Amino acid sequence: MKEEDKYIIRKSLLELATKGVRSTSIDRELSAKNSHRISNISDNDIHNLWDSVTLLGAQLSRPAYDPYRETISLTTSIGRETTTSKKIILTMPIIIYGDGILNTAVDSFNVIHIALNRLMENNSMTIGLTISKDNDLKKLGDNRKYPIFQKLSNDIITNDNNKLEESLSCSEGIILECREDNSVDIFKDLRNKFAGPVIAEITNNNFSDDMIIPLLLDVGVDGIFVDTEEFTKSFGHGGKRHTMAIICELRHAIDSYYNKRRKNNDGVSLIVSGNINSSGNIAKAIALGADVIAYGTSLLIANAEVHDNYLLKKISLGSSDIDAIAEKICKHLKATRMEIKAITAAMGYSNLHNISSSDLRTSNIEASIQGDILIEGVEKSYIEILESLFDKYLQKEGIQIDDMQRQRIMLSLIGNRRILQ
Amino acid sequence: MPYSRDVLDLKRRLLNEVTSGRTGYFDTVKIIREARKAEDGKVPYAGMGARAGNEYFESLEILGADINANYLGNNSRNDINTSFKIGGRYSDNVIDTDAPFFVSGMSYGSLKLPAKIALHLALNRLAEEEGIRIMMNTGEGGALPWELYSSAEMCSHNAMLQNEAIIDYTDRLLKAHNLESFGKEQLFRRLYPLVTQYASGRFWRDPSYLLNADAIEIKIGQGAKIGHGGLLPAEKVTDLVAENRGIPSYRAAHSPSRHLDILGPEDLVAKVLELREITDWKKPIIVKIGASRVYDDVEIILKSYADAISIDGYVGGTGAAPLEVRDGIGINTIPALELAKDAITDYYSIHGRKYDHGGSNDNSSCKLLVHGGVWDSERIAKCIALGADGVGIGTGFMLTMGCTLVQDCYTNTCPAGLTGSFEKLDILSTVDRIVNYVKGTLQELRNIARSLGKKSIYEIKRDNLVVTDELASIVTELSFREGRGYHNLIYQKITDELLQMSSSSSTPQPSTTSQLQNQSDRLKEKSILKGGDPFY
Repeated sequence: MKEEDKYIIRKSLLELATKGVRSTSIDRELSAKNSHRISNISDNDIHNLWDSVTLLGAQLSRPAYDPYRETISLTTSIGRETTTSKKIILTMPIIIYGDGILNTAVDSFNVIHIALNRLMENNSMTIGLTISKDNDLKKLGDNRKYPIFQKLSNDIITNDNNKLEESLSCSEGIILECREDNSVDIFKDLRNKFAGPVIAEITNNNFSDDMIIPLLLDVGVDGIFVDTEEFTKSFGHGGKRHTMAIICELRHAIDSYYNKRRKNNDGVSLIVSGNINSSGNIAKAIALGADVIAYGTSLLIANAEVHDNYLLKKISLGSSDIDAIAEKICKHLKATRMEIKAITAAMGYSNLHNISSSDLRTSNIEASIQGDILIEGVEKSYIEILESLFDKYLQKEGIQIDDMQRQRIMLSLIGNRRILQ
Repeated sequence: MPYSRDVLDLKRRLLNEVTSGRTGYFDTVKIIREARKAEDGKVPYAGMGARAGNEYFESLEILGADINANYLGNNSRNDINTSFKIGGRYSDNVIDTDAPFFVSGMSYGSLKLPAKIALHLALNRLAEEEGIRIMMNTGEGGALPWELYSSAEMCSHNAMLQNEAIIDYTDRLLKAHNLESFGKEQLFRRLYPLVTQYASGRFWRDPSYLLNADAIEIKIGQGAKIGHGGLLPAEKVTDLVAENRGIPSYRAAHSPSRHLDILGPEDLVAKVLELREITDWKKPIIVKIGASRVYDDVEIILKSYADAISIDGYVGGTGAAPLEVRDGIGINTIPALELAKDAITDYYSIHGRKYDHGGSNDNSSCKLLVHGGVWDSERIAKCIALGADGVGIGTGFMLTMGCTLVQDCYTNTCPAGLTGSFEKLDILSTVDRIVNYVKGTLQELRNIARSLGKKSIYEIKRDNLVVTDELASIVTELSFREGRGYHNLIYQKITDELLQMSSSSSTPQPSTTSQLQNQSDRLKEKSILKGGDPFY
């Protein structure tokens, strides 16, 4: 039950239990309280759409795995078979990312460095790290045991060849923002210079360009990176767009690239960041088509005490403090790994990446539209329901319309849904 | 697994900090969860039901129902039939109870002894003084001695009282909880039907657990942790709990995520037949699943010689489940009920039979029980109207006993003293409240049926329900109050769009436009829209 409903439920039942009668039922009170919820969908509701999406568990028709006794694989590799000679293998689909945790604090690089090394040594967990400034690389120290994804700036690419060589030599993967003026040629150039995975970052400017992903994949880009935080500020059809809509669209673009060429996907990764902040959301995002989750703010929260006391005030930490915070990050990531394993096993899979969008159900029409997710109990998405009713209507009334008109009506049916209701 | 106080302090500071910069999507619960993970490096657990809403119930309305409709001044108990039967499809015995709801599985171990005693005494008092027999499920943690060794058809309780081992265990149980004042004569009688759970952990001492119950429930899964095994943390496995379950004490009691001998349909058939042989084909057998792939699972159960199917929506409660599994896996109760009903209807139509959903007196058909988010009479009536035969209530009884919804059931810190803590539970007043709750709920159910002019609560059917939002209409295929279903709304929108398109196009097609106009008018008339889809 929801936190805000608890009072009503408890009050009503206790009234019945102590007096033997009560004045009104729980549902009446709840629906009176929540009546506004149906007509207005706020931005915050859109932000919390993950909560109304659930995964299907394993029961009789599919036996569950046991995460405590059986091997559940979360391993993810980044890099395409055909283009990359040095693939990166992550033991869980997480890359630490986020200016929030890295750049506000003096010693935060040191902390993350110790934590990721420790995870690798003690628990054989390989987790990636993104860094966005080239001089940050030096702060990380020498004995690094985890892969680095460096976000290259466009200046280095165009102006400073020596620096570029240096950057390429000390990172395992690179991320470069895809811009119209440089994109394809620069990626082609990088591909030839660099053996590890080359990831292209898609931004708001070129997201709607249908051609960009096929062009990038043609020149050998290994993955698409997207920070959905940027996108969700913009407005899509009649409202705010949620991370799940972006994942769906990019996954569709990647799949249709391979379908058109009648090839199998040779390992293009979709790396997604933004509004994926719990193990459940990681599993849901992966079900929708993401391969790797760039994860940051949850770590910030996990270490908020330290964040609050030292990091924001930019006080240098003693070595024992650094050690303690690193230990917390390790614990947090270990618990997260166990949670993801538990979810995967409970769904009846031994590999996280076997989860697909057919394992998702939603109890929210908006989520069904944005993520193309089936509605629970109906096993159809809202768009499928609309289309089948539309077909029935046209057939019965004998009206013929062309594809353009049909598309226009469908779009406006979806877009105006909230207003018409 | 208690967590340190600093976590609680820091989360308050954090809440301000994190939410001020961002759009506020980190709520308190998420922050505590992340902080706990960093604090102890373990998967955070949680008690009771999922945090999600179960808005389908709110969006359904029983037209004309009044829970206080006592206007005839007729308070007689017998004017409205509320009896609920289970068994008889393959079993010889049929359990006959007086209420369409029952106490769903809450085991000794997850509940402390005083709470279990309160439930036992309350159900006895209801049966004895009020003539209301309601069924109780033991949960998967084994049954208490007085539940197993004291039913009416069992040997006389005097004989049982002489059984030293049982008496010794009972004495120790009562002493450990300072409850010696409870006379054993008072405890060793059971006047209500008992269902014991046959779960993957197999927590029981001897076959009397199966033989002395009135029905057996094979628990494949439960709503709160579908596909995930149960876990009773080590600190709750006291010597007495361990002895009752037949496991080592102070070690976490982990039930596997699946029955090691039930992996598919054939295994289930074999298991049901095995239990039938053990119980001499007498006891009804129920199979319980958590709601996920409900249609497929129900089809399998229907073919497995079970007497009843029990479905638990993911909002259903639990003693301890990993938070993410509890909140992220499963579907809601009402959609699950719809899918189960579809599966049952399809099964019977293949066999050339029509299935009458909801409390049919025909015991030869499979009964459908639902759990999850059902707490009061109105929700019970809604489930029955949608096709359920019986409804399991867990959290409703917990709240009645004084649960404060802190949801820390897995720690030994229950503020109400229900799931384990030093807080003392006042058993006598708790019994009173349970009795009131059951009587009140049953009276409200009768009032609902009476206000609709029905003679039995099972006469409440789908026609008595309306929905108040589009999603509920899609899931249940029910209409809104004014008689329009979701299809009508969508047809209306399509017509409006087509009209707008043809009026804006440069070469309007006269025939189509007028046709559409007619159609639009037609759709707007309520009379035509009555009964859902106008085309069919």
